[in-house]
Amino acid sequence: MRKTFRVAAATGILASLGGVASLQAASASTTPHRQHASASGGMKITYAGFSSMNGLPQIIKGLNKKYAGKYVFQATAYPYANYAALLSSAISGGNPPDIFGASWTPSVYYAREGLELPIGPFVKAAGINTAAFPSSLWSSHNLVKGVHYSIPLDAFGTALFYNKALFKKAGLNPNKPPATGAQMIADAKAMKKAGVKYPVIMGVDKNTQDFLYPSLVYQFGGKMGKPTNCASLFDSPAGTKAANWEKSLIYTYHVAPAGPSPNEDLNDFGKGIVGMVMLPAINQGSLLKSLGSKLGVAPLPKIGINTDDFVGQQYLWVFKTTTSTTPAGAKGVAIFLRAIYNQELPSIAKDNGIIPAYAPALSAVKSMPFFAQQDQMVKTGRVNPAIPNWGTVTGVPLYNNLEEVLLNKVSTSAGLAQAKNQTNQLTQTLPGCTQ
Amino acid sequence: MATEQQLVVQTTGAIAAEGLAERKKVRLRRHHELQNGTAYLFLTPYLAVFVLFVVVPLVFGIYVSLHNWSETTGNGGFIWFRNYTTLILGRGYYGSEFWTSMWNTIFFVIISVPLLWLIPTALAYGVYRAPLKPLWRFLFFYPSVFSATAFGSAWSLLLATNGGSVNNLFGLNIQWLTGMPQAWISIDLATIWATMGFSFIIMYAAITQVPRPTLEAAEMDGAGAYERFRLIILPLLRRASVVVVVLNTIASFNLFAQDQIMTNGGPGTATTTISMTIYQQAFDSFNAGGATAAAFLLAIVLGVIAFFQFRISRKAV
Repeated sequence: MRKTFRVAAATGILASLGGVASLQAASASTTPHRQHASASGGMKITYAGFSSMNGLPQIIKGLNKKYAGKYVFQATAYPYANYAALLSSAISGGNPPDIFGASWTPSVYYAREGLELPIGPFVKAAGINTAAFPSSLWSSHNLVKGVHYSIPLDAFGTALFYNKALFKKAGLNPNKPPATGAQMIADAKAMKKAGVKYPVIMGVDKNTQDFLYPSLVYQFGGKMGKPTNCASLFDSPAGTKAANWEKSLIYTYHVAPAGPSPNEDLNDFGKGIVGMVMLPAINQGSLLKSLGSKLGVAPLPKIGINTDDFVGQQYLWVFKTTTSTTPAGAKGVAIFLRAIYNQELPSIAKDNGIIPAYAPALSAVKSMPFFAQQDQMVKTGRVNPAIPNWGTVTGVPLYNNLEEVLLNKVSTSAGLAQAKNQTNQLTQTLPGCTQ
Repeated sequence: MATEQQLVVQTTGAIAAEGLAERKKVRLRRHHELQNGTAYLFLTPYLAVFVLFVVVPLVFGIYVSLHNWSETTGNGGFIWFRNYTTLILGRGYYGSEFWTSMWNTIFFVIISVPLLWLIPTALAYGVYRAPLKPLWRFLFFYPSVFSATAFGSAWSLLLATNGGSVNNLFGLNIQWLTGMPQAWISIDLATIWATMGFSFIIMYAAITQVPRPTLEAAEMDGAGAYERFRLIILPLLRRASVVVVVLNTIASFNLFAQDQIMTNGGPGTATTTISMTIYQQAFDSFNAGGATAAAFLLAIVLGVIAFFQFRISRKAV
């Protein structure tokens, strides 16, 4: 009995290992084994991403009705916090979605690993006009090996949020937000003089800095990284000026408190006790709810030599699957993309206050509050360099070290040098990056 | 002298007795086999799940850790122990982060584990002697029902530098979450508050098992509450204490969620734990081989610590 059991257990383990190994083999070859036809007889087209999905269920329902028997469309929302883990699991399991939506640089990673299909044919089949994308989000700097692999879906810049009531209290014009760095400091000083305890709160951790710091680097004429060899470039004079300007708000002008805890800029501004914060514009919806008419939104002031800002974004790309690589599957993907660009984008904008990165959809939401400001931020926006997973991979060492700089624990030059060194150690392991 | 007939009878009797004993043995063996079979039958569902979700991933994990393995592109080739040596020798970004986060985690364990034994034990004894026991038990266990995300967020709001209730209430300006060593104190406080409930229940249950006559005899001999606790109760709590210490050591080494929410590993990397580094290596850099090797190294550290904790406790009991 005991022996029989042992043999059975060993066989089970071996069988399971065999199963896992075959799954891994499938993922390695990037041709996952998936049923073409679903139970209802149609070819399954899957979409996943961290979009709001607010408008998607209706679109999916409509598509499934229209293409009954031919296609079955499915959409899954991945939480932003762990979408990479979920997507990795799906790819490892040999079952990635046909279409995926996330930030721009992950698409560079998957493209360089050979897991994506060029987006051009799909865009053409879907009837999407690429001239209708803003040039900040669709240009030659979005090419991977000379080809576009992803298309922009929506974007949000780095905004200056200000409290109109506290502006009034300080005798400032609530409809005239600061347009330059010097003006911002002057306004903050005026608020401090008028008894506003926190004229500015500036987050020193990744949650704030992964938008603010690149924006300032771009404003001072610098670059974050070099796509050809993935080297980091933020320790340049522009990078140093950017970090020093941020430090000056805390330690020179004393208009921002030292050492705010993570997310405190957003939380405290929402409570109405802070004059100004510099945060991703994606927060507009929640701040509008908590502050109502007191909320002021403006593009980031011109702190450096230009008005550029970093834009957060969502791009869509098509994974190389057994569905997407067939003519019928490719057609299904194109049908889905067309529906997303024509129907979902306006609902994303309405529900989340995010600017659609497609002119026809953009014109449908012109009545949204702060539309003009948001549009301006996207137009002057810059996306990350075409380095695989730049935002995620470099985020940890860069913003850990920058936090130390902004907490005044290390000098700007030492912090940025350490950040550069550590970032380069990480980027060296990325596909297509040799320094 | 026995006659031939007597001999035959004796022999037949002996054979019969032998046969009976043999039959009894067979019956007993069958009974044991049946019992074993039943036991296996009951164990099979658990064992199947155990094999599928523990043994297989464990074996597969060892395999992955010996390869240059990415979640997205799969097996990049057998590299022997390079993933392990990279981490142990502190080479590259994750090698150096491995040790930074390992020391951070050990520091947290050294602070939190004794407190997670001491406070629940003291509270358990206090409740054992106090009236309204159900109320106290409920109050001390209640925080354990919250998820790490929930209590981490709540403590973040309480301890925020500028808008936090603690600083505002006491007119302080302490950087609870962005200064050192306050960041560790804050994480420790939140963790102890939220997780001591289970340790409290274990220690309370153990205290209730201490024989009452022994305590009464000691009391009659003039031993006060403190002496009774120190000289009678505490020695009898050793087994429960070992369980509490081992479980808390393992849980503390796996610190992740509250740390991620409260300090995001900061300031800088001062509160980055080994679990956070493993996660980053696996899912930010897609280096499954390196992350799995780090996880096995952590498991080895935990195994060694648990082994010594059990050994020490066995000698002491």
